[in-house]
Amino acid sequence: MKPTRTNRYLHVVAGLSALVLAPLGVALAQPMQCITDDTKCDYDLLCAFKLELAEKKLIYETYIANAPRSKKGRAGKRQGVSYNGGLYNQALADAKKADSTAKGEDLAQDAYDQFASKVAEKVDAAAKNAECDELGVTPKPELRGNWSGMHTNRNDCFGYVDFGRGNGKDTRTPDSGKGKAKGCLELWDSDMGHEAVHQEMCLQRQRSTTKLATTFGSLMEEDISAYRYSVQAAANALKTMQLRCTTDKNTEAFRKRADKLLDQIKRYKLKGGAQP
Amino acid sequence: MSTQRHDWRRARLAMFALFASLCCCLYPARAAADVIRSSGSEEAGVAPDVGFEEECLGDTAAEDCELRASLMEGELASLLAQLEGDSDPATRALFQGALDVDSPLLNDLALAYMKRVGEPPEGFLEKAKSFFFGTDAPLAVSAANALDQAPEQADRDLAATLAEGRKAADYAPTQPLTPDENNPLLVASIRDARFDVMQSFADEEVFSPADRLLMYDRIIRALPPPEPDYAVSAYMTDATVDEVAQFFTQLFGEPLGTLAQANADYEELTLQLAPLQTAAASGDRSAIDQLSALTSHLRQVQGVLTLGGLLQLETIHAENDQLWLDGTVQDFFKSPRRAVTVGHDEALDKTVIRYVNAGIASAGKGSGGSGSAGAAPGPDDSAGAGGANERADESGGSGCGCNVPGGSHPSAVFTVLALVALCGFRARRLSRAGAVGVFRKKVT
Repeated sequence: MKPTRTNRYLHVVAGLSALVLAPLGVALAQPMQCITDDTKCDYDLLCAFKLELAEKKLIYETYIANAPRSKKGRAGKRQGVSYNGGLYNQALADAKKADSTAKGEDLAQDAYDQFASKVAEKVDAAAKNAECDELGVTPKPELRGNWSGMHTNRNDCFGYVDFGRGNGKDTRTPDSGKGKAKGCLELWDSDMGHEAVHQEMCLQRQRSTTKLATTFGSLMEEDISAYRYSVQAAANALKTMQLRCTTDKNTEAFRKRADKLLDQIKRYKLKGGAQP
Repeated sequence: MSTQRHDWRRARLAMFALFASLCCCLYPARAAADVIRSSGSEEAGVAPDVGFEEECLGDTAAEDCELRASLMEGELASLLAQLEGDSDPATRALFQGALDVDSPLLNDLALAYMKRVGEPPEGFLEKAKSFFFGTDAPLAVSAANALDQAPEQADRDLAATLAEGRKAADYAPTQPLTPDENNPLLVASIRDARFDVMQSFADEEVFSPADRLLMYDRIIRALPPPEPDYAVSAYMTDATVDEVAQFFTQLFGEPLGTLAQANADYEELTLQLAPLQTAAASGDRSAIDQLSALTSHLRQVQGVLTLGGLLQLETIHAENDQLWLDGTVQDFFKSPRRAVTVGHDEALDKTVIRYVNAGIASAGKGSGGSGSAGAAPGPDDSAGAGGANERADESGGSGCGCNVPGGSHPSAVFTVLALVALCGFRARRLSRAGAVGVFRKKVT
């Protein structure tokens, strides 16, 4: 087809539009800072940060409850969590079943992977309880982020971002992943920070003159430290957001709800949690 | 000539390929540490406390009780954060209740609230002290904040000792970080990870029973990066110093003694040295033999003094503690070694064990994170969190980064370092009036 004046014009417009829209597209795709100096009290954001904290706390406590080192905790508890190695033992058994020849560090890594998958299932199951009724809003998943997780490669000590799970999983570098990611930048940063803990420990391990064998337990301990960061980062983000809602009229309602939750949690913990 | 160059290039390429395949073979392809996120749900959720009373607080518990309790605790933390500015008596009672729940997150919120509203309830300081001696660093720094205003000097001293190693501001909520700002929480968390994970000690090399003692955790750095720093993780136990010493003697051999004793020995030996030198110079055979023995002893003592200076035993309050080293003092000057100190702590009336994890050179990867993402420690920080963006390729799980482990420390650097440390240590000692007497008193 011979280029006419019209379609040449169209090509120019299309080209210019692409030039203008491309950065806009990238900007829209990237995680956005949700709490800025201008941010006012926003219950959708408060809800997103509340769920983030609950989720990270759930994962952290699951790791603590299952880590072999937790057996040594005072009165059988560590960070207020009772030891229960059920998921740990299950993961170890599954890893042995999947590869009966695996031993030592290979088995530890296999078992750890099994454990992480089981925790992911647990976290997905928790999504059915994700609600913010007390705030009068419905959770907005788009604020929480569209990446399914991040990981640090133990060989090259670099962090990667994952989108999706299973066979369709798309793994990217943070630079590339950030272009595809949507959600609050605070949550993206928090996950990047979690990986920074792993990265540092990975580098330290490679540089250490004392070479200790990697065990399933030591892999879990590293994650416990990384998740402690995640929990604190989530709690801090929630508090920062909360500072914008100090003049709330619902104090009485919040207090009533808090009282009820506190009573139930206290009784649950006194009972020894989910222990039979 | 050109053919030779061509062959050389091919040989180099072949060698590179061989090296690369070796790298990939040596490391398993799948090896990752994860942060997990829920896949999310578009449907409105069910409040976790609905039916909790019947399903989770009875004799039998539903399968998802633990999960629901965790979500409820998250919501409670959120509600308490919302009520933080309220000083109504009912709100105070609520926070007081949160102090008693076995949850570092809720305890932390309650401590901060109680400190702010003033007039803490009865037993508040005891509660704060129990958190202080717990295992959760963010909660311990909050507890130290509360103890900082305790009427007893001993309690304020505890808070001051913890503050030498950890700052409360690092864990506290901050304003949103700018892209160039370092994330203090991340820096503190990486330090805590090093203390808790103790990469130089296997579980069976850790004395048991013993509890973590966060107030003596320290990062020791003798020289700026990339020279190694040492993560010192502290524990306390009711076992006697002798019982603990026996454990570490089995592990590492005889202890090197205490820094204070080495100091006293050094003073004494140098006093004996002068008359012997005079006698030896006049050809006294017995004086020459004694001088030789004395010099050898002096060298050993100097070694311990240098090591003690490098490990900053005085700064970390371990100058009176027995010291074990994995290897000889000379080994330490060649490459970083792990060490252990054990001693009785007067303030706690307990035996304190310090695990000195082998020094590790700074990662040297610079600030990580993209933009504000995962803002990493700066050059002054103990741990240079790796830059997630600096990588060779975009490979997924199979890592063939072939990072060459760093941390080989030329003995020359260590020798100079040792001399500097010894000189500094001696100068400091001499500048103190009656220092010898003080140390002798401590030893006796």
